[in-house]
Amino acid sequence: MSTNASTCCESWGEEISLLAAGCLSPDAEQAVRRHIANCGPCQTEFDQVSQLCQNLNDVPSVNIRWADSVVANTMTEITRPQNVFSQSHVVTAHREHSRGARSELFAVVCIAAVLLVSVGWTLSLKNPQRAEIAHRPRTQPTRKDVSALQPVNAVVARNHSMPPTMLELRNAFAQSDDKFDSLLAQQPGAAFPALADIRSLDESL
Amino acid sequence: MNAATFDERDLISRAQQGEAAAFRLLAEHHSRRLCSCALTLCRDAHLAEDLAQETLLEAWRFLARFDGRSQFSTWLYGILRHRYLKHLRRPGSVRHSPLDAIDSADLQQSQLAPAEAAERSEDSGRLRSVVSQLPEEHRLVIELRFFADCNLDEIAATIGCPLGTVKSRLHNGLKKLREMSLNVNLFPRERESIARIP
Repeated sequence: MSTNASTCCESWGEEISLLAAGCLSPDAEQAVRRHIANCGPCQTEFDQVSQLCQNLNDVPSVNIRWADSVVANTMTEITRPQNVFSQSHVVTAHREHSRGARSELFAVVCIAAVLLVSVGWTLSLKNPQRAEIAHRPRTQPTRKDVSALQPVNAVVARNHSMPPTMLELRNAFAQSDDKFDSLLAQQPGAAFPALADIRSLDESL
Repeated sequence: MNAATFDERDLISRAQQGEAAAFRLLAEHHSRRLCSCALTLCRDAHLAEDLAQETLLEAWRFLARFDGRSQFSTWLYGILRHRYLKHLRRPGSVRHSPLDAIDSADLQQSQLAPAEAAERSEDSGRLRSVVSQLPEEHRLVIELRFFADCNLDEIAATIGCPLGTVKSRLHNGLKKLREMSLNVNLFPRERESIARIP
């Protein structure tokens, strides 16, 4: 057999097995049979696999005596009153209904939450007495900034590597000038980018 | 039940509307192959019985979801596979050896003359034993095709593989089985005929 013929027959191997096992559609079966009729090695292969499949088909099947009892038991379960299986469609419909009701409730809760948040936000924006949240000054604060009368309602815990909050600066300023200066002096230069400029400006004023 | 009296589509639609009698006919029609398939999968008669019953109960419960895109049997075998996988995930579940399931008394009696029947029975027993020694993936496909009489779609649903994989496993399984049956001197007449081939 030439190499081409061998490759060709290898590609038919699976089809031949499926034909022998009776698993091919009529069209595919016709195509394989046409090939087998013109190819000796494939004919031999088919004969051997067919014989094996025949032997497998001849193996007596196992007599499953309990198959009938399986059906009988299943039907007993299905038709038993007050059993979940007897109510399959109703149960399914009920589940579908309750799932729908749950999602509607969830949507209503979501909408209510969004409304509450937006109303609260709007009211707080409109409030003239709204306190400024304590912030850390981004540049070196002046005495004027610190002594401003705007209220500050939050204090953030500070460690020494962070610049002081406006509230801390105010407290220090209220106590004494020395304390205020020492608080500013504790900070590294990088804490306030324009430190040098503002110091010079402050001095000139 | 013959084809004239058995209209599967009609029975399914009636069962989907809650008619238990229609489902009973469906279950009776598919029960033997379903049980055989379950036995092939789990190789334990008691477990196979439980699996088959659970499959039918689940089929009844979720029959409304069957949309007719596949064969009813294919859908049923898909449920069977899920039940089996669920069983395997349970702690303490064991895989049984292939020969556990089959008792010689359970094999269907042959109609042949006693001497020939005995010879056939011996050959069949040896062939079953050779099949059981195949790798699991090939054994399942061969047993489902030849012993449980499943078609390729049903096998694919049962073992959860694409159709192409089932085809190649069937081909490779038959190839291996042929080599193994020659090695154990099964079917000597065939062996002689094969030996004569140049």
